[in-house]
Amino acid sequence: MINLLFPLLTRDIPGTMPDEDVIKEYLKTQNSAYFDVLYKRYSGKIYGKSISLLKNEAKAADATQEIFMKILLNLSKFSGKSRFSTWIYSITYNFCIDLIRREKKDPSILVDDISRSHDKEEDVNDSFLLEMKVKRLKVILEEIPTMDKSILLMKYQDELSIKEISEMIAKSESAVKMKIKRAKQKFRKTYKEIYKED
Amino acid sequence: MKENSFKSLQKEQEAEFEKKSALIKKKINSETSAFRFFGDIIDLYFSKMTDVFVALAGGGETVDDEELEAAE
Repeated sequence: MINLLFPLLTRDIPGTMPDEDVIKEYLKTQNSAYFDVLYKRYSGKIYGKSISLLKNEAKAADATQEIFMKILLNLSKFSGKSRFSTWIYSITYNFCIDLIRREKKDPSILVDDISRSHDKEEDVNDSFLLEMKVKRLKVILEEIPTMDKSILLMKYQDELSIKEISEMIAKSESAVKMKIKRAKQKFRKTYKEIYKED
Repeated sequence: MKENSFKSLQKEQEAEFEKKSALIKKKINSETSAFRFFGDIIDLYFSKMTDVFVALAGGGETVDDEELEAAE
């Protein structure tokens, strides 16, 4: 009966429906079931990034709520030029970095480290980061500066391309490559300081 | 193949979020309901308010030329 009266409320939305179609349907119908799909797909990821950057559970939970509100209010502005995930990750990183900047918790966030030189150091192999124990990865990410952490998350967790990262942080592709290289060097340096015995 | 440690960290954090997920969703839903409510209020009353201002400014219903001629 309820199916006949409220077909939109009870309609099953296939889990495989592409994000872009879910957004279109949500904007057309304003049916919260479509929003639920987006929430289910991305809320955990947004929370994960927020907690990695803000280092505080309560703040990460509040940030997740605010970021989702931003996403909802700006959903009609999503042009589809980039992937939806890239768009929402960009909102997430910008929101968290702005919050840290406002609270002035990480002074390094105000410095563009492209000018700092570590060029003589050798390149760090990806496998060093990718095969690390999660517990240790967590510890190192807690210690390194926010911008380095963000760039590593974009590259290795979100698997964004250099082009996508360059669009997200409004820097050239060569600047992004340099930033990744330096973030990896900083990561290894911090690792060596903490886990001297290895 | 062994999973990338960054992806494993993400999975761990997503699992951690499960406990908080329902509460945050509830908060988002109540916030969006409030937005919708105020949107509906504006939608409902704003058009009427415009009519009131038009009337106060001396405007009103338009009168046809034929009606004017008949009145004369």
